[in-house]
Amino acid sequence: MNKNHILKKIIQSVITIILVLILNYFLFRIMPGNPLQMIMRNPKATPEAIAKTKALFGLDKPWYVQFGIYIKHLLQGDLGTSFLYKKPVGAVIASRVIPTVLLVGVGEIIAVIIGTLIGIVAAWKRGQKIDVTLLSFSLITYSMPTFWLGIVFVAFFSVHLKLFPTTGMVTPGLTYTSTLAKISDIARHMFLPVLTLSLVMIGEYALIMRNSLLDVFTEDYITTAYAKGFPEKYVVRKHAVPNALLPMVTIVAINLGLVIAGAIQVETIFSWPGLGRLMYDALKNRDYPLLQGIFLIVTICVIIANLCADMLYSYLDPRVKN
Amino acid sequence: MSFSKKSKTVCLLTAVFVFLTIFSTGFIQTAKTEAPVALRIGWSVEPDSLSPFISYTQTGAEIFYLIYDSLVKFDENLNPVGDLAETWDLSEDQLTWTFKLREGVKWHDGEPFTSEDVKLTYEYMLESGLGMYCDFVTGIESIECPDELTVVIKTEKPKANMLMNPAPIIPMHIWKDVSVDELETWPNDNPIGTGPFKFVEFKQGEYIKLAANDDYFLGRPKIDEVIFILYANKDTMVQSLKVGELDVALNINPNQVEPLKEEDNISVISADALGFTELAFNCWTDPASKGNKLLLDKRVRQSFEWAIDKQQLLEVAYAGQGSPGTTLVPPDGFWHYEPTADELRDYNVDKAKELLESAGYTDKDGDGIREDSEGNKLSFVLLLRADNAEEVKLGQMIAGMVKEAGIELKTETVDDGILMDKIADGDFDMFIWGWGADIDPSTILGIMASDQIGNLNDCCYSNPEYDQLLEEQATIMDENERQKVVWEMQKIIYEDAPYVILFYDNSLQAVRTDKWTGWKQIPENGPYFFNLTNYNYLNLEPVEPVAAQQTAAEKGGAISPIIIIIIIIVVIAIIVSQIKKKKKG
Amino acid sequence: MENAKKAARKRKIRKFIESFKTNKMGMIGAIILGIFIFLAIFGPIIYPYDPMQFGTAKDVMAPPGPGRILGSDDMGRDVLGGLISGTRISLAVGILATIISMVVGTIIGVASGYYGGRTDAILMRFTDMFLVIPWLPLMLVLAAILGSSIWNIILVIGLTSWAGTARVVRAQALSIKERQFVERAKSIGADDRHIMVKHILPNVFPLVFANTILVSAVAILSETTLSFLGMGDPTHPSWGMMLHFAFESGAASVGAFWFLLPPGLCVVAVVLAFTFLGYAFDEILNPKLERR
Repeated sequence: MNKNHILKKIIQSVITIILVLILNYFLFRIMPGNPLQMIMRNPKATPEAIAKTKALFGLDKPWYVQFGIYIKHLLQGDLGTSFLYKKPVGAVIASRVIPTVLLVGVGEIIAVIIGTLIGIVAAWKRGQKIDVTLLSFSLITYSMPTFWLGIVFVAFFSVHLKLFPTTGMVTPGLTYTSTLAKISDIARHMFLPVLTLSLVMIGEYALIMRNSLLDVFTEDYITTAYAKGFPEKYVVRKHAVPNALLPMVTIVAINLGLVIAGAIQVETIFSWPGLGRLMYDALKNRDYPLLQGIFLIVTICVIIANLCADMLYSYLDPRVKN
Repeated sequence: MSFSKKSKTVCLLTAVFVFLTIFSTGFIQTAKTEAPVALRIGWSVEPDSLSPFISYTQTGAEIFYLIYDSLVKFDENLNPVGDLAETWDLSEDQLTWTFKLREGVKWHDGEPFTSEDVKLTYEYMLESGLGMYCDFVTGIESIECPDELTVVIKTEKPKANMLMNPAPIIPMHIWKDVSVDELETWPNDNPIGTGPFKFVEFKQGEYIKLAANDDYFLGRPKIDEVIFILYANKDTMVQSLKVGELDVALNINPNQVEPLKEEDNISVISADALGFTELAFNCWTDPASKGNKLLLDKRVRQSFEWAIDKQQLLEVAYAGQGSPGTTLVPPDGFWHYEPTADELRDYNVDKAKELLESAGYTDKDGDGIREDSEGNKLSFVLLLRADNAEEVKLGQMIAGMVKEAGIELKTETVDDGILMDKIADGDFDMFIWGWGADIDPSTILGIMASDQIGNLNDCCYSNPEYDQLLEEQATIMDENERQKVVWEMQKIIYEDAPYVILFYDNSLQAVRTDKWTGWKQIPENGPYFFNLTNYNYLNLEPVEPVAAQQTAAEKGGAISPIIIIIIIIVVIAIIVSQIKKKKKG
Repeated sequence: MENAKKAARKRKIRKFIESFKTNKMGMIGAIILGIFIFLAIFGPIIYPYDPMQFGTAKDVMAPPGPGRILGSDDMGRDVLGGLISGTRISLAVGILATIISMVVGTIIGVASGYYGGRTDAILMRFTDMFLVIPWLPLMLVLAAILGSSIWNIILVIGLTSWAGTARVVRAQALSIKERQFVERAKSIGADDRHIMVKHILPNVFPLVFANTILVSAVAILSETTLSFLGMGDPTHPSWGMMLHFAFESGAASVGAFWFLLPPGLCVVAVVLAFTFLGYAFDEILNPKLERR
């Protein structure tokens, strides 16, 4: 892969980030709801108090000055002060990143592994009973609203069978005797959210893997491999599957945004203290700086993931190289 | 045609391994050494801040009751008793209060409590005008500290609510470093108080933990820890209560009350809460008002009240938890005025029709909607808060009810931000929202003051006579005299009907009786918690301190092997079936 | 020549229908969707239902019984009636939003692919932006800005789901642009608009059509999710709105499964039908798969 290609991709990504930055800033400014009311929540505030608060949050200046200040602070790594929590946005977000990464990360890993396996088996046995079964399973889970699946799980596993805790990431009030005890407590709380999140993703990954593998089966080098007399299982394992995995790389990266959507729903149902719920709360409370911060960080993550996937793709795929 | 057996098995086993390592750990018994006895309370709104100057949530206020103390607090019957102040005196002219403070009180960090702390607290509230407590200090002219244990407070006029002031007293040795200008953003992340509980930690989005204060001046609470756990939804909160992860569930869903009553070991109360839900009309007479002018006619407003079946609303939308509302001050035993049978507008559609007919609103074009003499239709837009499912239901039902009387209501859902904007601009016809009241009636009566238009007065009602009475009642020190004025004011509002008070809210709380004893409702029909006192936090006792805490963990442990076995069996079954198929193929 | 083209197209369509008929998944999808479309159109006539007819206290979340096959909802109304009248709303939102999404996506994709150069660069960065911003938060914000009337929800879903289509269409337009007949049209002096409408559009159409089906599925899921998160329009109770009220009134812990499950199952069925159809079309139209 040549350097120009990488450079072009990076420049494109930077432009996209800048566009997102601008959209981000103004999108929240045109939202209805007076931010001052949200900051002060004090209907009896005196005009002086209002003026002071305005100045404190920089709301007294014209929009272009505000935008300039925002960009300047951003370049210094300062995302602003949350209206709701009255704390630096960076700190508020940082306190919620780990739970989400944990939830989404584990969910994603499980979904990718199982989805890929299902996809391979289904493509392998194309048209057979097992293919139809796996395909239907994938399509059905893919069609489920995430939140609904979560509610049904809570109703069944937690209420009916009383198997798992319904809420949160840890049992509050427990003093752990060991790290293992803490991990096990978190794991118990994670089971249902992760199950929900990975189930809705498994479907998609399985479908993509199946399609991708079917595509690969028609490639010339597979035919050639067969012609050379390699046994089928060898051809599949050494040639087909590795190549079919390539599109998965891209999809997993692109899906990051989708996963965030899932996280919002799952975090709401299971009271998971993550970024998704933070975003939802920020939206309800018109906490622009916080919303802006979350949007920015999430989109930058998605862009970087895409960029990485792109590079990885061109590195792995011999066809793109030339 | 098949995959190599080995590779497939390896793949499957990897997947299984990942599953098991991640989740099986969840079933290992969580061993515990002498765990502290914690009261676990579930709620659905967490405090917005730990600073009394910038918190505006009830949950914040509840935390302050535990961490901080005030000069005077409420007893079990909600009468004022001494807290940080032991005794007090009021001068002849009713303008000078002298508080004698309790001796030997220490802050959580060991510093002694003095009169200077009180002075700084009240002065900060007066100067900054911030926080939900600043209402209680208005009217204070000066605060003096003749000695370490005496506070002298002078007021401009007699101050009737002086002893109903729950403002938390904050430590000067910490807050003196915060300037008044900084109060707006100072988070008070580690609050230090004098109260029965010390702050331990606040995990935003998860929980707040407090621990008993060993040196509390009224004796250490019997609860070692109080943990408030945030629930993103009420359904899961109730489920946690049922399985024993929680000891208390606050503000549960009305539909859950009856089913919960059938559970063993759980007690549910539907307690009187000082608050109401209202249907508000735009009564703004200013030309800038964008509301429908027909609503300025009080007969139209009154006819709504006649046409609405509050009982049915209550039963369908709130499962009957609450009581039909009438006047502005919620029933509290003393300040509330109940309309006489003559004054009362109880559900009666015919009366609504009669009233509208006599006021000249008739349906001339036969479309079922009445018009005034100029042909303007009695057709209004009702704004509902999208967040609140119950209020959305109310709105739809009300639209159906008033249709009978010949009034058309179009419902529209908006979010809080938009509604606040519209109210501020006078750009609405009607909306549904609620208010919470204090024990002292000044606050709730104050929302109808003319000078609050654009602020608290969200229906933009204005009445000079009422305004005058409002000022007068705040200075009457004799309760019976003051009651007369307060009653008169409620009568005026009921007659003018800027609000249709739909119902007085109930506070729905469910608690585990198998883990804690000593539950007491405050006042008699009031709630266990959020009742303006910290009585239950101080007086609850664990039933069996150790056993109570371990049940949850044991449950998890007992189920674990079964789950693991099931997973293993399923996995083996899959592998075997795969191998078999391959052999056939 | 025109006639030959038309005949060829007709033959193609006939062949498509033939292979569709033998595709089990496609047929199942078509049948499920057909039932729901029938319900959406005729349901309210066959099964009259007045959403303003509220029950009394004893009707609230009452279990199924005579006259009420699926029990009643949180306001004492018939769940089955709500489901049927919700079918119309959910489908309408899905379809209208998809149309908006398709129109925007196709226009941007065709313009970007055909003009290339700077136009392409600008449009594609714009498209990228919509691809990378997480869609659900964006929809939530837009819904909050516009207010939650049913039309706004359609608009919001339509305006946030076109980016994928634009990308696909652009790629196709790029390759069509290089074909001979476009070159020929250019050489005889046809203007850009003519070429785009007459030559490029018909050729990207099958692709757009296949995409429509998948976007419809996404649109219905989006509406359900938005409504569930409280951004829906309660005056037009869709399935998502029913789920919202079911959840908010504690149907899960009260055990009112008749209220909680059916709307969700309907969503799953319709989305599944769309996905089945999309999958079947893919199998038939994707020439690569035929070789095996």
